[in-house]
Amino acid sequence: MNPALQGILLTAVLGAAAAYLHQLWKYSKDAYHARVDEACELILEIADRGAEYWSVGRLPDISFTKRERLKLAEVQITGRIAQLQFLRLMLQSRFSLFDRDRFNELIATFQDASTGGDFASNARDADLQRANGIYVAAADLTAHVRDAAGRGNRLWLIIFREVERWLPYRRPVTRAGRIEELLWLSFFLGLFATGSFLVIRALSNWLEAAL
Amino acid sequence: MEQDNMSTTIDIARDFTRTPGGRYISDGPFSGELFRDRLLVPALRKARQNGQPVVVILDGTRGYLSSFLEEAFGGLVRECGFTRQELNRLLEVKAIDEFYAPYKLLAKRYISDARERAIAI
Repeated sequence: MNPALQGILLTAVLGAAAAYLHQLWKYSKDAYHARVDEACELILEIADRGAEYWSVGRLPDISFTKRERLKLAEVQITGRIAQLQFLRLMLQSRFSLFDRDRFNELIATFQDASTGGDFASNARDADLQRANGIYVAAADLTAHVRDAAGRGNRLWLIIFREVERWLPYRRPVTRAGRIEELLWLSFFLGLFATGSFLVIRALSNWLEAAL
Repeated sequence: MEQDNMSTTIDIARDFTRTPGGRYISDGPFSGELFRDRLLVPALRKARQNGQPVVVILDGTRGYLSSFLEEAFGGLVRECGFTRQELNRLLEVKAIDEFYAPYKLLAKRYISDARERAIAI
């Protein structure tokens, strides 16, 4: 085959492969951001329902209709929170460990605000402070989700995580494990730095002697 | 409830229910109060005597209401006379599946935030 034609064909194939990979990455990135939007909408929806629920008390003289409506709200809030938990598992796969910890903390706080206190009790007063607190927790959570997703949803990080997934080593998930990992890493980096220094010094001595 | 030489394990889904309820017994079946009084407190009292910790596994349920967790774990300090230091030593809350990680955080938070009930003389 003509070498010029060969070059053109190779360039075309490589270009097509790069465009295909870029398109795959773009789909993945857009799909991930769609899940982020879905999670944020869901959080605000739970907050609305929660605020509505907590602004009405469940007193013994409450009407049957209102009582039934509150029961329905309880089921809806708990159902939506379960949905949010599944979304959390999908989203956090691209978060850093630090962001993941913070995400869990904020989800716990949001859940405490929504279903804590006397949630699902047969008798309780309206709690406007809690209704306000739900919005604060929701705002913190949505801000963190968007922030962490922006930080974690990068091509090089995803490639890095894919490579990490194939290694026979699993990163520790406990705090003690992470500290131990950090200490080992520092130890090996120290060894590497010392070794590199010694090699460079030996090489420069050898060059000096040779020249 | 499972007991070996080292610890007592309470698996909520296996030993109590897969569908935990609300806070008080009066709120319906499988409440936090019922779990605490029926399973957790007896196991912890035994742990106080023999020094073997109690491990509570949160996995396997359909999820928890915060009110359930607050009554079950915060209630240990508030209602049952356990101190936070004692619970740090005797109680371990485990969430093996990542799905239950926020519930574990909440349980720990409720223990550390709970205040012993003031005794009026």
